[in-house]
Amino acid sequence: MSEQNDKRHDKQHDDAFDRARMTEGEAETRANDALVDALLDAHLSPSERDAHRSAMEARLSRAFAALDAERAESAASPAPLPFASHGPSPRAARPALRTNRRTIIRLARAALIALAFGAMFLLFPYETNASTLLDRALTAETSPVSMKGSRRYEVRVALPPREATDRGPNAPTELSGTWDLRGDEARLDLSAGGTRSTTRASSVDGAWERSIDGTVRPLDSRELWPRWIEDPSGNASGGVAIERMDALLRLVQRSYIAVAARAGDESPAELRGSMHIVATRVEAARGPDDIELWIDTKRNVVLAAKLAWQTAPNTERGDRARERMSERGGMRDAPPRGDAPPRGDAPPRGDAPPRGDAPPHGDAPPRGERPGSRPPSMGDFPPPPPMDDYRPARGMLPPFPPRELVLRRIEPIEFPADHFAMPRM
Amino acid sequence: MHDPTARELFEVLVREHADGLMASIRAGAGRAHADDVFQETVLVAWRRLADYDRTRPFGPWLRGIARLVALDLAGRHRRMQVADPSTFDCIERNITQFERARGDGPEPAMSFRERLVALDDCLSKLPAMYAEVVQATYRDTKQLAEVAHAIGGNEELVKKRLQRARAMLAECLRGKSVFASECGDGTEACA
Repeated sequence: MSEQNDKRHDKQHDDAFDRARMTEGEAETRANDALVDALLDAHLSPSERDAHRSAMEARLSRAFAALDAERAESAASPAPLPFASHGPSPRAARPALRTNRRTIIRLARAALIALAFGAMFLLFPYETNASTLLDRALTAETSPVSMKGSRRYEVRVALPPREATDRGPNAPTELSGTWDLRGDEARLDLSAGGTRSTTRASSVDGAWERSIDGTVRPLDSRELWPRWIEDPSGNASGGVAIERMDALLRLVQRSYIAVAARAGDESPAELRGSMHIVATRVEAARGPDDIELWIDTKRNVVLAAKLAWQTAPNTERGDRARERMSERGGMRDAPPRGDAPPRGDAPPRGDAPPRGDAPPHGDAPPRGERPGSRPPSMGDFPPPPPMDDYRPARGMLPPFPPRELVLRRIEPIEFPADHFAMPRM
Repeated sequence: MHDPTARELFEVLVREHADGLMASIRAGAGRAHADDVFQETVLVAWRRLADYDRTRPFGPWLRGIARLVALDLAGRHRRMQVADPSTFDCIERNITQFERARGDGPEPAMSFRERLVALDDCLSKLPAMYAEVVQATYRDTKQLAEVAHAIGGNEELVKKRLQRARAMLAECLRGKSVFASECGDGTEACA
């Protein structure tokens, strides 16, 4: 009897052992299958492979934006993990036992902030939404160009730190002004720290500049805007992206991953309720790393745009440029004026003389300027790097990308007929 | 309050382990909620950073949090499925082994993505009938029905071939010591 019992126990034990072995084997099979699936997806899938850096960057940006939002929202205290332990886990990740109402509220708030701000990245269901919004806005923003509609944007340009760009001690760190557009014409008035403004414009008769001392001179159209935002194809629309809002939208469509959500607390108060598009650069386009757009969905117009660059120190850029030059067979000094590559298919404007023929600046200091004091001069910007990646547009926007460029639409606006024309000297 | 340096160091560590974390989440919790789990993991890890034992590797600690986050999320989303504990352990062991793996060349492979080169080698060894469905499904992102139509079979056949292909790839990666030789109880993975 006892022998029979032992045999039965042995049999039960063997069965249990076999079941355990089978379970372990199944777990291994399932784990291998799931992990190879994940690795294949990461390695072969175009959405992860080609755009991997941007996709992961956006994923990380989203997570850290939520983290920073939470840091700003709440005083830091260790929050309990809101769940029970399940199976073996790392010691440090064991849940705390105590939870309280404040923590739950804080977590809920963090989740809401994360949803409002971070979820705009990589939530693929919203991509179609962003794409549709961009399409509509592009149509609406293209019509003023053909219909000669007038628009004005308030502009703020945040420049990289001085030490990062080898600029002089008087170089400004922020520029502000207005950007006026009417059809193909554009006019940018900028000033630094309340000093007198400088103006650059492209009119039907050609491009021109009014420098800080009031001197007016015609410009070669190639000198007009810096090249840090032009797309690598030379731009099919014939304009620098920030010169025309429709070109900026086209750039986003072509070279960025864009997602959209209704603007909430993460946006300035006056823009809340509009649609907020956050776009991260995918291709090697010459343009900002991130673009944010706020679109009025009733009229499909861009109310505001924020363009951000991850700036590299000037020395680093110079090193890269020198490396590329040496790969091409040697260094050279600063490129001769006009050596910049032509600006895509942009037609030459007017009979603008070459830069060296510009009229001399006046000797007398401009009226109202204190003798002995030197206002922050935009001429403090260094010359373009040896490798001419940048349009040599000195004196207004710097040749290197800014840290941030913010455009905000001002309405309604009507310009005088000669607003874009070069003033008579 | 964590000072900016702690925040920066934390970001560096998370970035360094982001690929492994994402692979672990996808394998253990599926694709649909992977981004949500990823973000919540970073948030919880930051809140619990004081508990992190600096003498132990950061990757397994981060992935351990991801596992708990995934389980928590699955408790709130009925349709979300997560792996059972023993499968999770096995995934963790394999990822840990994957991170330890060195390249075939004289220099050790540096990044997670560089280590994926081993997968290329294994892919090249797949029989044509399996390689075809793998490339069509993962690289060309075709639907099962499309792949089935292309190979003149049905969806079940495609699923079966994909499953076998993944098993062959896992075996190949194990042969290269990129995957762990056996799952065990998972405790070694966290050591």
